[in-house]
Amino acid sequence: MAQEAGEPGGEEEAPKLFRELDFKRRMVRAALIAFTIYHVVAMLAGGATKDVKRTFAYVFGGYDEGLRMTNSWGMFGKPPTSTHVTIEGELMDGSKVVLSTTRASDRTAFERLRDVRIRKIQGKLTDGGDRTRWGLHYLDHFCRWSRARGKELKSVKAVNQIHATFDDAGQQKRKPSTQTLISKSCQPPLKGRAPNQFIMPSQPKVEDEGEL
Amino acid sequence: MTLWIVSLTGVLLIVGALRFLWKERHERILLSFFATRVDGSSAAFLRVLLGLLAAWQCGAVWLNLRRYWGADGMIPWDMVEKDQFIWLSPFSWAPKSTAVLNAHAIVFTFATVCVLLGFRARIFTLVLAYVHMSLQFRNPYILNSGDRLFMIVAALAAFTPLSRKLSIDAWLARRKPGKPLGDLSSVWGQRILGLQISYVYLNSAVAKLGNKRWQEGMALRDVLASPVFAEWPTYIDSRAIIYFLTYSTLAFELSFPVLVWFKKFRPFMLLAGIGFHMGIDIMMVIPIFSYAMLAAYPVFLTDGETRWLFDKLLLRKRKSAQPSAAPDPEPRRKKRRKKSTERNARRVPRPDS
Repeated sequence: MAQEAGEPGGEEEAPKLFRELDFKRRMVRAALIAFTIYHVVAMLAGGATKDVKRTFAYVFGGYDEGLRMTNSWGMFGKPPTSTHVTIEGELMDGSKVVLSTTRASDRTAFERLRDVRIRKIQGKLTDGGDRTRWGLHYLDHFCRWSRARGKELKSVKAVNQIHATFDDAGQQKRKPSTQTLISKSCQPPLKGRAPNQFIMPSQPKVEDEGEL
Repeated sequence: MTLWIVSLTGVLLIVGALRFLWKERHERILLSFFATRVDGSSAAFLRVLLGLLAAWQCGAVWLNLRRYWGADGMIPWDMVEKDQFIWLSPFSWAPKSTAVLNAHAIVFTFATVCVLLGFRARIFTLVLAYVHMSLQFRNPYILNSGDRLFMIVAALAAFTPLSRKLSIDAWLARRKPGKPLGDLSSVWGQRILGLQISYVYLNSAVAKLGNKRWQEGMALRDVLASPVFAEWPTYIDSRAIIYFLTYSTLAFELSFPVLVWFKKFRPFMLLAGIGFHMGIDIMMVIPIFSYAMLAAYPVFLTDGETRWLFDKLLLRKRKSAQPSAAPDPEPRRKKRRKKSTERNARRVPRPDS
């Protein structure tokens, strides 16, 4: 289990017992032991349920949420329910253009490298809370981005690309469809008029997914 | 206050119990696990892989600097400014500053180069972790488990002797023999990292075991059919294949945290892990995580195993035969055979007795 004898210092330089150390080295070892215990317990608590995390928040809160040294690693603990979300823009001449997609196969090799995290942020637009908090600002980024590249957009919207699902017998459980999650006009509103925008109200979540 | 008193009493009780139960034998077992001395070969291997991973992250940071973390980017500052720990990030000092934003990318790049080349690698791996943490605060909406893991591995790697081999620090130390490389040369840092990686698998397995689809052996069908996560989304009809994929995932994630610590099983566990993560990387669209896990694998290797691996990879023959350098299976097998022959000779009664 441990390092084999014959390793550098394996047998000939066996580590000293605590009582054999001088004061300075004792303090160093005590600090290392303390950190080891702290990190291991924080690691266990950080990966536990929310109730356990809450109980230990007083001791490990800073280490977890501040230094971000712990996490829960329940990847795919629940079946994935995510859908693709695309950002679609309408140019001034009425033609449509896809500005951003979470579908990796629709991207070039460079875009795949650059947009490695886009799925995470864009996928969050399916969550009502996130959509309300920063969805319009997210869309506004694409308005500004297009304008800076000389392509004025009329409007922009986030579309949820709901895919078909099948049960274990191969029967279709859900039909493919699309759903506009949020939309925004890229043009300034006329005087005295409310900005032309739409935010789909949040819906109760079916099941939280524990995916990457 | 009450919580502190309860905690302190608890700690004192645990310390008292440990003192009562403590035996020198226990301490020696723990020391052999945590405090064996190392020459830094495995840590150097870890450093190079971590540096390559950081270089990848670095590229992603430069390519997305303004849109992910800039004041005019996707997420406005007021969305994140209320975070309890935002003061830890330099962004909180000047949220709209382009200089602070660029400084993040420049420092991250410099730290990456230093880690890769082994110049003050233990300091710069902490710098990498800090800058990454700051970027996480500025935009928490783009994070995945791989980001969190990269940061944790980078921070904990500072406890390993990263620069003792294959590094500028080692080269400088050779030029100035009087200047030591520092006295941190125990396996402790590697063990902490090893425990961390083991826990990732264990935690993941436990989370899966609680779900009905994993218990039924059908979970991989959902995962591989997901158009979001699968590279080639397919509903696999063969139950045998799905059962095999699902249960082998569980078996691997449950066995790795235990068996990887035993020399006999370690190569199989690490090879299985490489296969597992490469499979994920090919079949699925999940960035960073698999590579962050694989980059940390050298912590499970002894220095001898790392040297042996590099000798094999570089088709190099060692001039001086070191017992620990290259575990040669042949003599061992012969030795075992000899031992077993001797044992059998003792057991089997002679016909004339």
